[in-house]
Amino acid sequence: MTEHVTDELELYAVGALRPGEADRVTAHLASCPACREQLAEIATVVDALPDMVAMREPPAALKQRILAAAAVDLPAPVKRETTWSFRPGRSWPAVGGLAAAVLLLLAVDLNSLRELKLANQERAEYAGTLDKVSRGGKTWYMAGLDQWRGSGGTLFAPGKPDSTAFVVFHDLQKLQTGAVYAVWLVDADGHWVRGANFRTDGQPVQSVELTVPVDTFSQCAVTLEMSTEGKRAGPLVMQSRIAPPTQ
Amino acid sequence: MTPEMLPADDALMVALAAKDLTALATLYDRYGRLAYALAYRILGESEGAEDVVQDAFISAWRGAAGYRRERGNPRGWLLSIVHHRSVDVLRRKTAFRPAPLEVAEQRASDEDTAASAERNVEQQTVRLALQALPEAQRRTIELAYFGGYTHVELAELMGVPLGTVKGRMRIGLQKMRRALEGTRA
Repeated sequence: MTEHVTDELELYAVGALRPGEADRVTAHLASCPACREQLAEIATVVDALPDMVAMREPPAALKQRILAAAAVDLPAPVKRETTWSFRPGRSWPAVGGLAAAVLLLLAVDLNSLRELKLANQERAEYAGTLDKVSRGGKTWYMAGLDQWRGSGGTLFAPGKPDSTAFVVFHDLQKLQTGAVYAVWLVDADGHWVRGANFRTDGQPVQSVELTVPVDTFSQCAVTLEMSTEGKRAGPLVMQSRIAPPTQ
Repeated sequence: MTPEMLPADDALMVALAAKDLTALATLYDRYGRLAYALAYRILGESEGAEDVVQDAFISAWRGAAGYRRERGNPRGWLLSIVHHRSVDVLRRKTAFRPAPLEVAEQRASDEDTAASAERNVEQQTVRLALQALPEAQRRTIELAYFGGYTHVELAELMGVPLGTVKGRMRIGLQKMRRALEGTRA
């Protein structure tokens, strides 16, 4: 066992040691019950320090972003009904539990799944998606704004540079003839680059691939447009700040 | 947190380790606000605080199987993740330099005033215990925990030897511990 770290435990507990020093204490604690016991006593005070912080309400969408990001870790369902049932008219908060279940299938192209039908192929595709997402990838949730409240989408930026980013939308509203949803990436200078155009396919969950890598942009947004080309002109449907997957 | 909540928190950790999304949602409902407040207090801006809280909860989700009760309660474990990540982000900022003491003090004072209406008994207890410390000990604890300063930076900032920083931290935390134990007894 290394030398006791008694003199440094207070600094360690409040995070005031430099990284190398903290690593040395961590290594010692792993094999020293006496120092661990002493640290636990100090921790009773340090754990109370957050209680004196001014309470602050996090954005409402943060919880859904966390749950969506966590859902990609769940194992693929072994058996699933081939026919989806969804009751329109329910609000997004009211179907939170259902949404969590739906997110089990994040990033899987549902139309393709229907065509494939075979469970082993479905699992293989799901596993491939998980692999794509989990290797250093990041996710950001966009909540629908104003009249689109209740809809939303999760942007997936895979960690591998040769992988395509995509957005999994839920509860999108159907569009009038001629209109399209446009997915935009916005850089730090405020330049909007169109990453995809799409129309709703009538399913509760819809996956849309982007034609532009996301790693140089700082925001992702969806607007309602009357043209598949040109600058952004329509109203904002949803938006989220994003950061490069490597950060 | 009351002692009565501990079994519920422990049960949450078991469910979290079993990859129960409902448990993660409950954990967020219980501590998300405090986690965000802590991250915001350290980083001083909302976007960074959001990222830290998301990373911390996902880290807890993925690391729940390795959680050991003897190393701290679930609340302390989760908030320590938030704290460490917040301080990491703060230190990685390229423009980060130790702020003048008076700036850090002012920021703490502003936030504490804004929070006064919501402070519960536990918050009051901790705050009183900290306020009862000599100023040098209180500053050392606050600047280290909320300001992300290392002991080397603190020694330079406060113009005292490293041993003095260490001593102030130790004595200050010991006094706070006695004060909190006296209140809770």
